[in-house]
Amino acid sequence: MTEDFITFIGRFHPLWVHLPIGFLIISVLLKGYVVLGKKPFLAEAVNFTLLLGTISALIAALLGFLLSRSGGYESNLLDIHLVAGWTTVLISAIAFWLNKNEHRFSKKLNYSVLGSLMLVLSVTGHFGGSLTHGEDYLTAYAPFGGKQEENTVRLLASMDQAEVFTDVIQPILRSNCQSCHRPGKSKGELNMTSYEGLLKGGENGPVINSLVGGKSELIRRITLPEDHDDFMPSEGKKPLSEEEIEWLTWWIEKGNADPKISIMKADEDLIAWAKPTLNILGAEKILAVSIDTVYLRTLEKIGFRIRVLSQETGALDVVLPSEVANGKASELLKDLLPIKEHIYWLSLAETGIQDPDLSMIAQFSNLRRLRIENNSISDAGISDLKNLSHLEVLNLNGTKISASGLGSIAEIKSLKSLYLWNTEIKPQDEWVKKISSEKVNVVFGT
Amino acid sequence: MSHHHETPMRSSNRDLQEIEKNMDRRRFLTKTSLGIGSLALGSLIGMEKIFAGNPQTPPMVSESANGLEGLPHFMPKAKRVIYLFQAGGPSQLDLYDYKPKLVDLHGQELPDSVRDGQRLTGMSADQSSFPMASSAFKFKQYGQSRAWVSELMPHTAEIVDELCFIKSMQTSQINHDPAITFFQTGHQLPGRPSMGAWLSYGLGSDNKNLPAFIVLVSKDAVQDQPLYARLWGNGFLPSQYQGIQFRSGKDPVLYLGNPENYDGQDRREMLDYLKSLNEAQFDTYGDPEISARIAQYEMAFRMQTSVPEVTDMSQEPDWVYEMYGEESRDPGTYAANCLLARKLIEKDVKFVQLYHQGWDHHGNLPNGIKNQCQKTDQATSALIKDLKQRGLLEDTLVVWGGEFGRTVYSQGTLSADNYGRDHHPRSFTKWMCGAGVKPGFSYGETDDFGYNVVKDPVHVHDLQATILHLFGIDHEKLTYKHQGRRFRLTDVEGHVVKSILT
Repeated sequence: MTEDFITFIGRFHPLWVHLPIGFLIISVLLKGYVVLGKKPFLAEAVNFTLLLGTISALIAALLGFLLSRSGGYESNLLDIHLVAGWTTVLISAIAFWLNKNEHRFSKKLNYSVLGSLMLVLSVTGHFGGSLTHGEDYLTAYAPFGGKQEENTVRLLASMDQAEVFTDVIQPILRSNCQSCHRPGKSKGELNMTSYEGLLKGGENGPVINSLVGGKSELIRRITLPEDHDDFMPSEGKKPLSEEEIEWLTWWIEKGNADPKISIMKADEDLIAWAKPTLNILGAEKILAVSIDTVYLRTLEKIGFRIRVLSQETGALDVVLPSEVANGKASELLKDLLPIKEHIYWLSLAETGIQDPDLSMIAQFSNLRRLRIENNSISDAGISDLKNLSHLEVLNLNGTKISASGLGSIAEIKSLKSLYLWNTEIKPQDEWVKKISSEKVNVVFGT
Repeated sequence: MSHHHETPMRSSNRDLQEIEKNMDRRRFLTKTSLGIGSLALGSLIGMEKIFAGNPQTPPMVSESANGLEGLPHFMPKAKRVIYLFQAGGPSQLDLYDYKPKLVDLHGQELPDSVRDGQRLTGMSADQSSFPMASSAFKFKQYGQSRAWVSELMPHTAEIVDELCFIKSMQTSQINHDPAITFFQTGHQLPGRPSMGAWLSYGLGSDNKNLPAFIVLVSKDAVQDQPLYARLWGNGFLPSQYQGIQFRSGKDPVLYLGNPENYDGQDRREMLDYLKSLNEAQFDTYGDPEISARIAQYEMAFRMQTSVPEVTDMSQEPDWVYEMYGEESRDPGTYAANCLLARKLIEKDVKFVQLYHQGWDHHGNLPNGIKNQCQKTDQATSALIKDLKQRGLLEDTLVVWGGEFGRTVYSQGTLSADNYGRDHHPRSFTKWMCGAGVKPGFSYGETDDFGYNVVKDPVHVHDLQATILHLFGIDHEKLTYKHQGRRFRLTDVEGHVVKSILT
């Protein structure tokens, strides 16, 4: 029987669960009617509905178990829902048996079991709902919780349109601070829902001292030891993550708390962290989806070593071992074309690739690290690489590159390391001096 | 299955047997609810399918070379690591942590305010006096980074601009075995998986023909403190993730060659039969260790060709041996192991762990440490230079250091030119180098006595978290459920030391 069929059956869970909920609730209501309304002739109906409830709960739990196998659920919530679900089955069975044998036990015991049945049923239902609709579904629009109209991340046409305050800082404040510091609640007389509110500060003065220097009150509070009285978020709420703190610090200290400053001004690491949280039109995320894992397995069977570098972007590290290449590297390279956008690191060391092969490698536009050492390739082929606009590390050890061939390499602005050991190029060559800088590290043998 | 395999503990009910096969007792107890659910469904749907999707099910042989789904958590900087473990506790005060003020304080009592009531080991606690000993060796600054290195490490001094010193290492353990166990497994008590096992469990193997985690122990070291295989053990992880120790000698793995008069032609066939027998056994008992065993037989088969190839030193030119030092011609020495480490890294082995014992200088430190440095300094430095010129430092991380440091006060009597130093967990120096670590950088500071950390302490768990981070792993998310608890390398602690990352 296939995984698909299991999923198919599992998906009846959301439909089926309403049966035990209904049966079990009506059984308790009936019980109340029997006892309070003095209708003993209906007692048997309580037993009957409890039995129906138990059986249908068991089926619901089994269906739920199958559904959980298909994955994609938040594991903490899933665990709670799963345990609660089975507890419901167990308690309803106990309740049925107790109710049937009520004469042998105290009535109080029976009532309290029925009470706990209702309780655990609610818990199960609530977490089940949280799983499908999201954790804050129930309370998001509650009058006491404060409406969160801005909960959606705005859609951006491109990465450089993103603003630090609106697209990064606001979401951080929203998820960590605004439940207390907002109009209507304003703890410490601080309202963090607007830029103006932040600037105004709270009862102890400003929270952002971007011009005064030193630590802002906001940064100080979130970086204190967790048990400190002034620590924020208070009352044991989840502390901010390191990246969130870094972003806030960057925005206040380096970005002068400018409400319009572009995200592109920030450090690479920070941008990389924020990127997946942004909602960018046609963003790189699509890349991850389009990775054909079956094809990757095929490539591995051929002998390529493939490693996923980042699930987020679908970046791959691809190695062609020299013993696999065995004189047919050019042929094998063609197999990489379907995944060329995904290849970030590529090693073709000692594979016998030739100059013409480099024109194919030049199509791997996302390359960050390229190892083509110990191949008989020369300036003609290497000049093809100049359009690799993300290339950071280039290993040309043991190739036939000449000093003048470095001219094309110099055009790769992203380059950080260049390896020229065992080439005819000498450290004192003019091109080497031109290319090596603070940013580009040129390495020869020792 | 067949009735021959039934034991009195097993149920006679077929469906129950299936359950028993697929779960060991403990897993059954923790997952009782699932067990009941599956039991009822046993007749409806094939059992294997239900458990195939269960993340707790140990990976099958074919998948064992790949890492866990979802890993790495983010873009890694490092692809491989060489961990040069200096077992015994090298004296930071005589190697890298230069304390000029000690020259004037030489021979004076260690102030109580500095020791601050610290409990010492039984070896020096009873001393009536704790005279501070300044290093007998001269220090100089090297490279553009102006790093202080003592005259004991002239070769390492040449590569300081590649290194990232952490001078503020701290551990909670004061004796060798718990301290090394702590460093390698994240806990001082035996039983946890080692760092290499975690990495190979999480990330899988890049070269299926060689183990992902290989251990090399120097044969030319003073073996005063023992090393136990649990330091590279798999703990509660499936056993194919344990480190494979290569023997220190000419034949790194025994019995890889075929016996005389056997051409090995039908070895594959023989292993296929053995595999089918083992698989039948696995079908019956469902013990995950059986699939681990199958994986190990397959690995051993592939190692018959890959190991002789990678350990063949005949192709290395003379200048390589001159670079690593003449001892590198003698297999099993530290120098030869450094060279072998480079060759293994070239083959994309993920974790190469070297151990060099003999740094435990309770007495006669000046002579002892000189000897240690002579055996390790040149090869260590050569390894870094060699990795650098080959471009391998880009994605290879090298870690150097011991399980703790040594005291500023002399253990035993302090004479004009001799002293000893006891174990010191409160401060010591390690260095890292390569993939994603700032070169020519020094992090953390100790006080003028080299006794307490005064700036940026780095605890063992922080270092482990940082190493995992370099591999693209969030140390809080790489976990394994065992005995009802999710365990991780860094236990419940550890912060990534971001300041040392590029």
